[in-house]
Amino acid sequence: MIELIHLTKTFGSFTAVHDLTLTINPGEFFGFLGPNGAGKTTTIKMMTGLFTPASGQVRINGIDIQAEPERAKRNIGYIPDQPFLYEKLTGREFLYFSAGLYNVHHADIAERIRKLTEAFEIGAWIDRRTESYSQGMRQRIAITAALLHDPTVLIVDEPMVGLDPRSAYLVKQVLKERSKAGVSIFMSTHSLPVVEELCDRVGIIKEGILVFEDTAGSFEIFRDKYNGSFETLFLELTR
Amino acid sequence: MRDILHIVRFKFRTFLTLSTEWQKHNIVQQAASVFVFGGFILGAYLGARVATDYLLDTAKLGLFLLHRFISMALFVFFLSVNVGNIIVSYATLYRSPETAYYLTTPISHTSLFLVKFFDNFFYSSAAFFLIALSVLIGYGSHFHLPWDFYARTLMLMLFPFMLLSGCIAVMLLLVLMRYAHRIGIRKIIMFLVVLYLGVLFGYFHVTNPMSLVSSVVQHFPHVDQYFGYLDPAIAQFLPNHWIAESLYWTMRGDESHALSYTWLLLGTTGITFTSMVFIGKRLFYKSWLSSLDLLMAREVQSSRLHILDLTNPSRLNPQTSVLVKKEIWQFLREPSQWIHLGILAILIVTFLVSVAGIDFKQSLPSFQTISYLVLLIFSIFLIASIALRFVFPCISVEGANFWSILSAPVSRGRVFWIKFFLVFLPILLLSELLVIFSHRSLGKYSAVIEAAGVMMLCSSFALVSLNLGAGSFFANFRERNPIRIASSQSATLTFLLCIVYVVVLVGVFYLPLNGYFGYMLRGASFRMETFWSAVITIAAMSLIVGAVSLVLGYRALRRDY
Repeated sequence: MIELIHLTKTFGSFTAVHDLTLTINPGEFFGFLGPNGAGKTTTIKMMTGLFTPASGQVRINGIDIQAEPERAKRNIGYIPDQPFLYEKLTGREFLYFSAGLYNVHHADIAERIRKLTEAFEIGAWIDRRTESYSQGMRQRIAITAALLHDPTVLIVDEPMVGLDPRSAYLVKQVLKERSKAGVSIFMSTHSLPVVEELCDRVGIIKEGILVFEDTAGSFEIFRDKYNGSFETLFLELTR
Repeated sequence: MRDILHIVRFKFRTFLTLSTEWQKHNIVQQAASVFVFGGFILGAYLGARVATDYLLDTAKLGLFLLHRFISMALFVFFLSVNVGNIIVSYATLYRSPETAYYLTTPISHTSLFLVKFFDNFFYSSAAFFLIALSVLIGYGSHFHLPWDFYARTLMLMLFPFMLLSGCIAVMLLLVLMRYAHRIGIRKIIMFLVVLYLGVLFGYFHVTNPMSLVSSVVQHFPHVDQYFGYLDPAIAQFLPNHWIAESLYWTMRGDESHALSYTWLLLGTTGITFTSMVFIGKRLFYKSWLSSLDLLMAREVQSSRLHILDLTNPSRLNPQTSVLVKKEIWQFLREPSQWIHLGILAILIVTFLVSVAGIDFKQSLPSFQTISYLVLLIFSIFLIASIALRFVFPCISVEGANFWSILSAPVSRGRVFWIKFFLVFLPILLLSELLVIFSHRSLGKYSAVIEAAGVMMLCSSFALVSLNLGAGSFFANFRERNPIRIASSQSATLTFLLCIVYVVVLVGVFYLPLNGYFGYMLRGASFRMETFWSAVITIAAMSLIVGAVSLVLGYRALRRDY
């Protein structure tokens, strides 16, 4: 479960995120939308402990990430928008590195890596250094790393960037499975079809303020109002 | 030509914008840079002036031998510029995203190659150039030479000399990178190390300075005459020899003879530069493509180092284990890191062996104090230089990858302390080795040896902490090249702080040390408590400097990423 409570982030006089309050329940798939520079990545960085909020709280399974960062982060799997990996490590080494950071039992790591790399069709690339990877291959490794410790919360920033259609399909399948298994998923994306396909609920942020948040049911009503097009709704709200 | 000028104009504009941002921290960093470089330049000038005065006026070495020593120094200088250009050119020609971007634009490969070559050349040679200029002024001031001598020597000799070195370096790099994917990067690096060591050894073996000196001094006091017949035949083909000859004949007032060597150097540089452009035109793009193949071909042979294999279990805490292994692999697999370390290691071993053979004993207390302090300062500066090069960048080199650690359930303290101990322990070991080797001739001064052991321990702690703390405080996660991080303005500011630390250390230690040597050599009255109080003061100061730096560095690591 993810709780964002009156979350605000400022950079000097600029307010990137203003008084954001949200709750994502276990098993819920939340789509977070907004134009460029709206505050999506800033929100995600606060949720993963990379940014300190100016005020407000982020709670992961009831644990305040500022007060107990290590305990809170144990529950999180984070997939960044730019999957930078240590270039001098191979994909396999990076995955072992990541598993070690999350204290995954060493005896289990090999099997988990095998299953996930098979699912994402990483193949022989796993034993090459990540400096030779394409963007899509980096993304696959980053997603595998995020899932290795079986997180109960997934925070995903633009997961489809750089993925070919088959990889995108594989990622969507895995995310759906995790959501069904009770994982809370918070996903920021620009892809409206992906939101429509995957998300139970959506929120739209504009200039740091949540301008729309509702369930999929209410979303259908809005969609009807805007000629059945979610795109029109999005454009209307973020104009 | 237009595309070259276009790129240069934008590069220059970016440089100007960045260097004229009048923010408080920028001004402090720039002032520190000016201060540190000014200090180096002044030191090089004074050193050259004093050395020339001493060799010619006191040691009566004569013009011929002086210029042969200059030739030898220039040879080492030539190799240093050469190595510097190879390392920086590799990073900017083959690993830079900027190069990859320009290759997607309709700029000719030759133009791009030339832009990157001059970018590298001025970047890696600028400091060498300034130091060479100040040495030249120090040397020339002994002879009261007019200003046009400096301008002429600078533009017609030093600059072409360094350009020649840079061109040879880049030609060698182009050819090696073209075939690197077939030969393998390890073999190439081993080849380069053997080549440079072989060239250095071969040069000094052939020129044989000891034999040269003894042959010349046989003619004392007529040592100013020309002993060209003593030069080995190979020397006639070396650019360092041409500069030394030109300077020698200028000092003897034979301008036409001097000018012939200048023309020889200019002609050779021109031909070499043209050859480099030709080779660059033929090989740059092909070698860039080969470097991609090399990247793709890199498989990891982890079985050789079982204990460091990330896929193997460890007795350490899993987080500590993976962080330590990651740090080591990240270092060992980055050529710019371990090549520099290898070169430094060779220099350090040479220094240790040399210093162990030098007798530092003096008969006068003041001389003994000064000779001892010079030794101590040199040792501390060696530690400071290593810390600046390898410790300062170690937070910044995490770069854009740091998200994977910072978003994981790892305490930032653990990350920070692992980095600290991984650099502190080897540096501490080196500093104590320096004490052991450099104090061999000072065995009867047991108190000094004990004090040196304590002070080097404390200095290592202070300097490593200062560099780690400042490296964290000024972390630049956008710069991927550790060499550039270690030569940034914030690194220069950190080095200035190291200098201040050393100055205070010397200030605290000078009088008690002088008193101690007075007591030991002349039996003057002296209380040992004074000596040990100074050592304790230095230890306390080092601990405070180290602790404050670590606290600031750790706090900086907790900032927004």
